[in-house]
Amino acid sequence: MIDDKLLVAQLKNVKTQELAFRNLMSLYKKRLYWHIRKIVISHEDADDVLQNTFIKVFKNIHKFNEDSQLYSWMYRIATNESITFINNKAKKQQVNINDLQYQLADELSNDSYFSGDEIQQKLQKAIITLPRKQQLVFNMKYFDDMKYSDMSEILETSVGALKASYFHAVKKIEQHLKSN
Amino acid sequence: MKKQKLHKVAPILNSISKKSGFNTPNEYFETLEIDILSKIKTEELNSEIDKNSFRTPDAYFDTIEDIVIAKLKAKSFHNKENTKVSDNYFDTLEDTVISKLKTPKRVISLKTVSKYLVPIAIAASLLLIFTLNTNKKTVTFESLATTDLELFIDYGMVDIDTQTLASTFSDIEIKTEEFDLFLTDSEVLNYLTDEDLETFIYTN
Repeated sequence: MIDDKLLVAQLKNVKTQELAFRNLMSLYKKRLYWHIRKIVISHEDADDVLQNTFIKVFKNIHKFNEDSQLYSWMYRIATNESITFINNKAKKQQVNINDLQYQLADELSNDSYFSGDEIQQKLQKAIITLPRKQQLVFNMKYFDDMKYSDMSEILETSVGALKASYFHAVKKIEQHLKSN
Repeated sequence: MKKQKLHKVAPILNSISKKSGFNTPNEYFETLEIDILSKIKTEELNSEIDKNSFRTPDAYFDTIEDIVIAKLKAKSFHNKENTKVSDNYFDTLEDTVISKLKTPKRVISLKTVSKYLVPIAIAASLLLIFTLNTNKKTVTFESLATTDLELFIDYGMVDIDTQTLASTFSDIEIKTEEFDLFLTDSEVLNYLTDEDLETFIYTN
């Protein structure tokens, strides 16, 4: 495994930049993709957001001051890009964000890149009912099994607040599944 | 929240597979790096090339509507004009005007006119006099005899004094002896009326 500090140094060096960037993408593409996909739902949108995320990483690597870990920094960019994308999409369609997310969840049954069963589709609809921050916390913990400490760095929220947020999210989803 | 706790707090959720159900196209992740790198290269190339090297005058786009509308109005006005000119009229106008300017106009001298007009005017005057004072319907200058002219002069129908007549016929000498006529007393007395005689006596 390539050390993040070495990777960042290579990314900032013009001579080694391209190769380092290839390595960076190889390391993080899947994790970032699934993180983004759970927010924007469709593969096409996730692909757009993932590419934009990596391009922003490439262009702004000289601004990365290494106060946080590289993957935390990239996750923050990916999260921000995903939320901005959803907001812009809702604005273009002149609907609010919740309505757009319900619409996306409804369309999952017709999505060729969704192989989940009925209960999994219901779970996606239940997640949409959560506030934005709880959605992120639930997805990162439930599906990705991410450590609270890592989540804390990415979402810039205390571990305690994240634990509480996840607990509330689970309760709400369970309630939603029961009633539906 | 540990697995055991999730089972207690959310049994339905716990029963659902943690697989999200989302998939990707085949080999999506294998080609992702190439796609992103080519996108970055394209963006870099585009930023290096100034896509639009053409420029417009200042405020061009602020005034273009007014210019177009003014031209449309002018065109509309031109189409409404009823007067028409022949084909190529405006192409040949300059040549036509210049050629006309170069052509000299014939100037008739007033002196020349008077040279011919004065004798004609005199003849016409005489002809008019003779026409008005004779019964002939058609009178020509040639048809007048010299005697006729003398008669008109004798009867005072032509205003001419002896002085003018004498100067006109300068080549004729008047002999004074022709006036030495023999007159009898009775002829003199007949010539002189009583009144004239009385006047004569008193003045002499």
